Amino acid sequence: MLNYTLRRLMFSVPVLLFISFIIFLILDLAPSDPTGNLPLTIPPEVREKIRTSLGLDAPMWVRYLLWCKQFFINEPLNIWDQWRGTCSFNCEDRLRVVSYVTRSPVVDLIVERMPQTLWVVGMSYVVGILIAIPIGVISAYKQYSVFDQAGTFISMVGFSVPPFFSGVLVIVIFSVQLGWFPSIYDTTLEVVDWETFKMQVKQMIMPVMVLALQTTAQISRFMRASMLDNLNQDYVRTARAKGLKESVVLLVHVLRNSLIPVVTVIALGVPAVFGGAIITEQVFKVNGIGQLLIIGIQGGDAPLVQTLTFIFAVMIVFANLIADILYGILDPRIRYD
Amino acid sequence: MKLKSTLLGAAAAIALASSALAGSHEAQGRDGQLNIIYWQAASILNPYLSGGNKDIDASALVLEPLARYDENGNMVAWLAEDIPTVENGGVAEDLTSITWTLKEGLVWSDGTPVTSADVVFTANYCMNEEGGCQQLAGFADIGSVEALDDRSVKITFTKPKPFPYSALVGSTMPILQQEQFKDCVGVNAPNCTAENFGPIGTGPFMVEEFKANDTVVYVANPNYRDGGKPAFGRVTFKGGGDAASAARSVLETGEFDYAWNLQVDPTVLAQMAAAGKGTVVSAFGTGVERLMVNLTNPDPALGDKRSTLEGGPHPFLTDPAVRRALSLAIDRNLLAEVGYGEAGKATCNVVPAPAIYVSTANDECLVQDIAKANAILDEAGWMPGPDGIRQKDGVRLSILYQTSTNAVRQDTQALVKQWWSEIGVETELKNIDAAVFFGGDQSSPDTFQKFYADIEMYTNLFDGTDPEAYMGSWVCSEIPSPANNWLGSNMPRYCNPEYDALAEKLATTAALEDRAAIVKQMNDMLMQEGAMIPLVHRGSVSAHANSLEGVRLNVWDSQMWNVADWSRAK
Amino acid sequence: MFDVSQGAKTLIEVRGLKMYFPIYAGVFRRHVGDVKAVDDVSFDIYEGETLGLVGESGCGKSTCGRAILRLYDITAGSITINGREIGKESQAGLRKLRPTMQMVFQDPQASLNPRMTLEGIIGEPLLEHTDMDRTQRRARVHELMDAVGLNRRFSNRYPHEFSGGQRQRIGIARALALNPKFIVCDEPIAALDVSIQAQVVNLLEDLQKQFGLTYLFISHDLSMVRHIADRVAVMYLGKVVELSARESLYNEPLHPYTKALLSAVPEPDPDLEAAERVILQGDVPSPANPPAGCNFCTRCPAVMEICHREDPAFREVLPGRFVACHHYNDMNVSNETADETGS
Repeated sequence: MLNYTLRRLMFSVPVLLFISFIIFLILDLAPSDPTGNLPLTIPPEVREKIRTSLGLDAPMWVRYLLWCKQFFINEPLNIWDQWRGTCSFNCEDRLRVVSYVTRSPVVDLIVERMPQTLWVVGMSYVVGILIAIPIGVISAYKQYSVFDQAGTFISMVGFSVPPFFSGVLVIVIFSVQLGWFPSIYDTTLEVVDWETFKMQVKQMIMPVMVLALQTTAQISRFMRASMLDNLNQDYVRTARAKGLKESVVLLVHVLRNSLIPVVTVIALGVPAVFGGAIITEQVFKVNGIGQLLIIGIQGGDAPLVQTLTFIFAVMIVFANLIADILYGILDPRIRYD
Repeated sequence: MKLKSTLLGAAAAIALASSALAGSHEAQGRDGQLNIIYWQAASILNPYLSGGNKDIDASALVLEPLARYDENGNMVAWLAEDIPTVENGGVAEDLTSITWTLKEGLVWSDGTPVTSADVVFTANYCMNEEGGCQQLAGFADIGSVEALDDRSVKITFTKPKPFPYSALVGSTMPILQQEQFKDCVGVNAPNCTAENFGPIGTGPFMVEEFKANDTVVYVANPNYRDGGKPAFGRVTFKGGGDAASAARSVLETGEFDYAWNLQVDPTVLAQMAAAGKGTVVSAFGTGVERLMVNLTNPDPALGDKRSTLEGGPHPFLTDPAVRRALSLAIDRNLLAEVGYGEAGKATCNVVPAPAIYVSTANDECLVQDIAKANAILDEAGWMPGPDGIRQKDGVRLSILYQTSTNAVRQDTQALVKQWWSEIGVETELKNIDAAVFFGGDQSSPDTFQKFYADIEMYTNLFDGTDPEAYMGSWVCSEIPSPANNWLGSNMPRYCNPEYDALAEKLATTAALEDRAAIVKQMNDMLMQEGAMIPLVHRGSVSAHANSLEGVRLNVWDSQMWNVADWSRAK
Repeated sequence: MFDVSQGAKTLIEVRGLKMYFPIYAGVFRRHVGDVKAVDDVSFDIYEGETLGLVGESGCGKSTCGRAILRLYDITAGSITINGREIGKESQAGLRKLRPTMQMVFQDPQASLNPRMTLEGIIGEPLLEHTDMDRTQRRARVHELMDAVGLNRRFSNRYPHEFSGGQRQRIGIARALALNPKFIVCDEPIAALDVSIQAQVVNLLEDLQKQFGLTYLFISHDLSMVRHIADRVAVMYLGKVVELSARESLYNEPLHPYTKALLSAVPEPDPDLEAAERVILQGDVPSPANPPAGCNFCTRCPAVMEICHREDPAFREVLPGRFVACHHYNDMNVSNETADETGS
C-alpha cells in the first residue's frame, strides 16, 4: 500500500505540472482582460500602463515560469517563514502570487475565505451525507414503498432544482415572510459566546440546507443502489440463516459492504467542498472560495483564477488517490501491490 | 525634533479642542451600527489602483479629496479651505497654475497632521509611470506639483488649463498619507497589500477590517475634524450577490440600511418598495446608453483593414438618411421604461447633464416616428427588395448589432431589431461577455475598440462636471486602429476637422458660458451627423432604509460623499 | 434402508408447502401473476438421515430448501421441525430457532461477507446466540476449524484469500457453530472442482456421523446424491414427483421424469452399456405459467390423455415409495400390504 501510494504521488507531480500549464494556456488564450471591467472613463493609454504594471507585456512562457516560481517556491517558503517566524532567502524581496484586482497575495485571499467555505459548504456536505445514508438504506430496504417513492422524489427535486431557485425561495419564505433567518451571511461574525453561536447557526441554516439537498440527492441515490446490490447477495442470506437480528444483518453486513463504493464517491466529492459553491455562495452572500473564483473570472484576474483552479486540480488528484486507498482499506479483496 | 514635538502638541491641542467641541454636540457614534450593501464587493481601498465605483465608494468613507462635487454638481471645498479661482488668486491669470490651500488643523486618523507634503506625494504617486495608476488621466498636462508651505500646494500645468480642477478633486483622487505610502511608489504600488487594504485617511471612518471582495468594517475616526460626527460608530460595507438581493435586504428584510446601484427590473423594485421598509432614490449623472455607428467598413473580407479608415467608408451607414431613419425608428421612452424604470429617461444628446451643457437641438428623436423614417429612406432611394429588406445599388440594409451580455441590453437589442425591421432594415444581434467586450485584448476580435460590427451599444459617461476630456474622445486622432494598438476612444471613427477645431478651442476657453456653447455645438455635430445614436440617459438608483437620514444621492461624486452626515432617525 | 424410514423419528415434516413469488407489471406495478417456485410439496425427513433433493436447474430445489428454513415468508403450507410448527412463525421468533437449523450455500464466495475475517464469520452466530466471551468464542472457532480441516492460523484471513474448497469448509464450519440438528446443503459442491467435491462430501458425511446431523442435500448431481443420500426426492417444476429410498429409486425409477433423469447419467463402464437413453423433448415450461394437468405432461414420453386434465396426486404407491403419476393410479400401499398379508 505504501509503495502504491508513493508511486501514485510520484506520478501526480508531472500530471499536476502539466495541468498547471494547460490552465495557464487556457487563461492566456481566453479573451479576457484585467482592465476590461474598469470604468470607461479611464483612457486607453492608462489601461495600457496598468497592463504593463501587471507584467502583462511579458511573453506567455515568462509569465508561466514566473507563476511557477512564485507558486511552487516562494509561496511554500512564505508559509514556512510565517510558521517559524523566520525570514529565509531574503523574504523581503520574495514576490508572491498577487491578484490583479486586489493587489494582494492570492494565497492570503484564499486562506481568508476558507472559514466560511468550510463552515457552510463543508457542513452542508456532512449534513447531506448524514441525511442521505439513512434515506438510501431505508429506500433500498423498503424498495418501492411510500418512503422509497418519497425519497426518490426528494432526490429528483435535489437534482433538478437549481440553487439559484431554491436559495431565493427559502430567502423569500424564511427571511422575508417569516423573518427567522438573515438573508445575508455575515463573514465578520466571530463565535465567542452562546449568542454569537446562535447567530452563526441561524445564518448557516439556509445555505447549508440548500446545498445539503443537492448532496443528499446524489449520495442517497448511490447508497440506495449500492444497498440494493448487496441486499441480494448470498452472504446476506447467510447472515439471516445465522439467526442474526435484522438490524445486525442490515447495519453490519449489508451497510458496511454497501458503504465501500459510497465512501469513495464521498471522498471524490471533498474537493468540491473546497471549491465552494459558486451559486449558493452568491445567493446568500457567503463570499467563500466559489465567489472568489467567479469574481476572479469576471475581473480577468488570471493569477487568482490560475492559483485557485490549480489548487482544485491538486485536491482532485489527491481525492482520487485517497478514494483509491480507502477502497483498498475498506474492501479486503482489493490490494495494490 | 523641536518642530515635530510642536506639531504633535498642536495635533493634541486640536484633538482636545475637537473632543471638547464634540462634548457640546452629541457624541460621535451615538447611532451605533450602519450596514451598507454593495452587490459588487470592494476589492481594494486605494482608488488609484481600484477596479471601479465599488472600490472608490468604499474608500470614500476613509479618504477625502481637496474638493468634491455636491449632489447638484457644484464644486465644494473639502480638505481645501476654498475653491481656487482666478478671482481669488488661486488660479494664475494665464491659467497655467493652481494653488490649493489645506484647511487649518487637519489631522489624519492616526493623529498626525495633514500637510502639503501629503498632497504633493499623492500627485507624484499617481503620476509615477510604473505604478499603473488608474486616475492618471486626471493628472494630464501637469508639469510639477510643489509645496509652497505646510498648507499650500501649487500645481503647474504645461499649458493653460481653462478647467484646472481635474487633479485631486472628486472621490477618485483623494489625498493619501505620505508616511504610510512612501514605500509604495511605482513598481511597489501593487505590493503594498496592507496599505492598499487599510489606508489612513482624514474621513469620518477608519478601516478596522478589510476582507477583499467581501466585507469592510469601519469604525468612527476619533480624530475627525467635525465634532460629533459621524453619528454612526461602526459601518459594515458588505459586498456580493446580485442587485435584486441587495434591494431585498434593504426594502424587504430591513437587514441593511443602504444598497447601491439597484439595476433591477423596475416592477420588481416597486414591489419590494411596497413592503414599506425603505425608500428608492435615483439621480441622473452623465451616463448615456448609446448606439455607436461604425462609419468605416467592418467587412471581414477586408482583413486587417476591417473597421479602419484605410478600409474605406461604411457601405450604407455613411448615408445620413439611413442614420437619421435608424434613430427615428426607435421609441426611446419605451426603452427607458422597460429597461431602466426610475433610472432611465429618453435622451437625444450624448451630453445629457449638467444642465448648462444640454442641447435641445436634437429633440426630434424623442418621439418615435416609423412613418417618417420610412419616408426618409424612400426619399434617399433605399427601396424594399424582394425579401422586404431595403436596398440600393446592390447594398442591403443589413446590420450587425453588438453589445455586452446583460439582460437589459439584450431586451433593448430585441426591441430595436423589431423597430428596424418595420423600416425594412435587417438586424443581426450579437452579445459579448463584458470582460471581453470592454477588455482591451489585442488578440480578440470582439472588443468594442475593434468594432467589427455595424452598430455597437454601451454606456459611457464622464466623471465630474466638466465634459472637456469626454468631448475630446471623438477627434480624428482618437480613432482606434492597428497603428495605435486599437487604443482610442473614437469608436464611430468620426473625423471632422471642424469638430477637432472646436475641441482645441474648448481647451483654451475659460468662461463657463463660452465653454457650454462650444460643448453644445460639438454635441449637436455628433448627433446631427449621426456618429452615435443616444438612447437612454441613465441614472443611479439606490435604496436606503426609512430610518436612515441624511442620504443625498450624488452622481457627480461618490455616493458615500456625505456619509459623515448620515444618522439614524429618532 | 426401509427400517430407517419406518423406525426413526420424523425430524422435519413438510406439508403442502407453497412458495410463490409475485410478478408485478405495468406503470402501477399491479400484481399480474406468480412464479410458482414451490407448488404444494409434502415430505418428511427423519432424524439422522440425508434426504437428497434432485432436479434440473430452475425446478425449485433451492427455493424449497430455503423455504423449509423459512429464509422466505412462505405462501402456504406447514413446516414442522422437531415437533414445532414454524410455517407461520415471525422472523423474530425464528431467530431463536436458527441454532437448530442451518444452511450450507452453493456459492462459497458470495455467501461469505467479504469484509469479515474467518473468525468473524464463524464466530458471529456464537456472539448472537450464546453468552461466550471472546476467548471461549475463539476456542470454539478453532475447534470448528479443526473439525472441517482448516488450519487455525487462517482465522484472521478474509474469505477471498481461500480456495473454493476451503471457503466451502468455512461455510460448513459456520453452519456447525451452533450445534444444529438439521442442515440444508444447497448444492454445496456445485461450484467446486471435481477433485474437491469428494473431499467436501466426505467431510459432510464424517460430520454427520460425528454430530448426528440430518441433511437435506440439494443437488443436480445424481451420482453424488446416490453417494450421500439415504432417500431421494425428485423435483420437477415446483413439485416433488418421486420420493424413494436411494437404491430403489436408482434401480427402479417409477416416474417417467426420474427415468429420463437417470438415463442421462453417463455410465463410466463401456461394457455395461447403459439402458436406452430417454431424451426429453422441449423446454421446461415457465413456473409462472405451468401447464394444466400434470406439470410434466408437455414433455412426458408416456403421456396419456388424463395427464392433460388432472394433476396426479403425490401418493405412496409402494411402501416408502411416493410418486405423482397417473400410471400408478391403480396401485396403492394399502392394496399392496393387503396383498402381502394375504399371501
